[in-house]
Amino acid sequence: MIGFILTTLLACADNPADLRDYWYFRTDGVDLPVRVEGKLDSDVILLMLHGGPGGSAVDYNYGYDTDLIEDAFAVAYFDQRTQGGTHGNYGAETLTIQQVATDTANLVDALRDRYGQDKQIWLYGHSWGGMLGTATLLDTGADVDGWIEAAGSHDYPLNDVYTAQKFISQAAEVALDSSVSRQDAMFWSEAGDFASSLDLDNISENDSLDLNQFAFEAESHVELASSDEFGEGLMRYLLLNPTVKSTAWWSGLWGGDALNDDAFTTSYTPRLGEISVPSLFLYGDLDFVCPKELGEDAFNAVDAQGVSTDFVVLEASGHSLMVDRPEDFAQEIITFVNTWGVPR
Amino acid sequence: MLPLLLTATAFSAPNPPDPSPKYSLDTSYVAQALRPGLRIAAEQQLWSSARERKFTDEQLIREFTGSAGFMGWWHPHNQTPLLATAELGFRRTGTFWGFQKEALLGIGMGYAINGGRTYSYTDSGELKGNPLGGRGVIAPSLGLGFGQELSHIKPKLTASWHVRGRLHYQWPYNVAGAPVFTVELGISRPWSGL
Repeated sequence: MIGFILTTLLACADNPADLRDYWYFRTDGVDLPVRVEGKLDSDVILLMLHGGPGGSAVDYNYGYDTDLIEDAFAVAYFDQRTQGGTHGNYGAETLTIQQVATDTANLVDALRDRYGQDKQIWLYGHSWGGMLGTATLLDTGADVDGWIEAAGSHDYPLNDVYTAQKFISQAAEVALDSSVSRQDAMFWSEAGDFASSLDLDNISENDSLDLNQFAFEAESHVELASSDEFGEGLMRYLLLNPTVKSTAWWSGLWGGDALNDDAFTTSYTPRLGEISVPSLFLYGDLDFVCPKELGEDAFNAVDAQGVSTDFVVLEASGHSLMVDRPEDFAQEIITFVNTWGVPR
Repeated sequence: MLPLLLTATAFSAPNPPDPSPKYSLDTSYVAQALRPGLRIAAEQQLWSSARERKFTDEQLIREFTGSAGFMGWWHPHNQTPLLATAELGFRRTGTFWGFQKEALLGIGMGYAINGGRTYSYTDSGELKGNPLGGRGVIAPSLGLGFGQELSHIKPKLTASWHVRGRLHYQWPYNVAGAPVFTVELGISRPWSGL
């Protein structure tokens, strides 16, 4: 027993230079598991903001893109409150975008206090993480050095409009294409009809959820690129993931619902011009969940302020563009950060 | 069930599926589904009733017990490696080749220590790590085991030792990241032994 405990405690010993540092961050009633992996001596930490809401940052820790990015920088993965492997005692009133953004901003400070004030910290959000990252940048005054939004949704109402428009246009295109299979044609027709039936100025929450479901289903009716490394990443994810999915799903469901309610009416598009740090917007051309037009809007708004920015659309990629095109995805991030990152 | 679980634990010794250094601390596939661990416990009988089986001489004892102990387990990312628990259990004991055979259903409350330090800001704004940071949990468990009265060794000793294979879960947060299978080593004392 003593040996067992000693081994465990030794494995937990502090070592900021370690490529795999696992700890908890307690803030505002919640313990957030934090995993920092990769090249810490690059002096760059990408703070991963996972999707969902209701997901886990660990989900992003097993792809081939992760290996490539961690060869260049350190990546800090943390689970947002109620999600993944978080513990805590907190009320439903804390399940707001503002609170999760505040948690994120506090973690930015903690990362610098733990690893050094000279570390550049870039927010790196996927999907819902795009909303969280934008909220953190604009509403918390977090001291971050850059922003990477990958297929992010910083504007839920506009996201729905773009998704509906994309379905309507895709359905029209497919109707003229005789080479499309009957099954695909039926799906696009159904999705197009549903999108056409919506009042785009007033989409209800239920219709928004249905639209989102169609958008995910659309990925099985388009030709996405596939990476040879996908299988290995999936095996690692299924077998080595430290988060038990049933528990994470259950607690994430509660928190995810509350955060989605808040996000449903949240639109950061009018304020995107306030972003003042180098920003990379990466989207998949076949993403119906968070269409690339969202990234284009963000790029235009940030670019208009003279801030270093780039907008990259990966072809043959859907919502999980880091899975579809891992090498290109990682390379775009590495190049952008190396080009525009300013040493502190 | 016990031999099966013990075999599973044996196979779950460190055996990295991925030879790269990044994953070398991860344990085997079995350990991902079932974390192997160890619990040390002291158990006190609170109430018991005994009856004899109809067609054999075997005496069956049903008892409620209270126990306190520590358990630790293997976790691939060292998240929450130690749990202090106090538990109420229902135990059914029979005899088997001179040993007590037993089944136990328990419900415990405990304090799970987060794996790795838990960092938080102090009132003075300093980031401090606490090696004992953690959370309270409720932990139901199921166990099968065997033991023997210590009076076999020394007549004056009224307690008995036991070894149990136990399956634990933690609620509301499964802090181990998966159910934990522990081998429990413990001492049980009967009510009259107080």
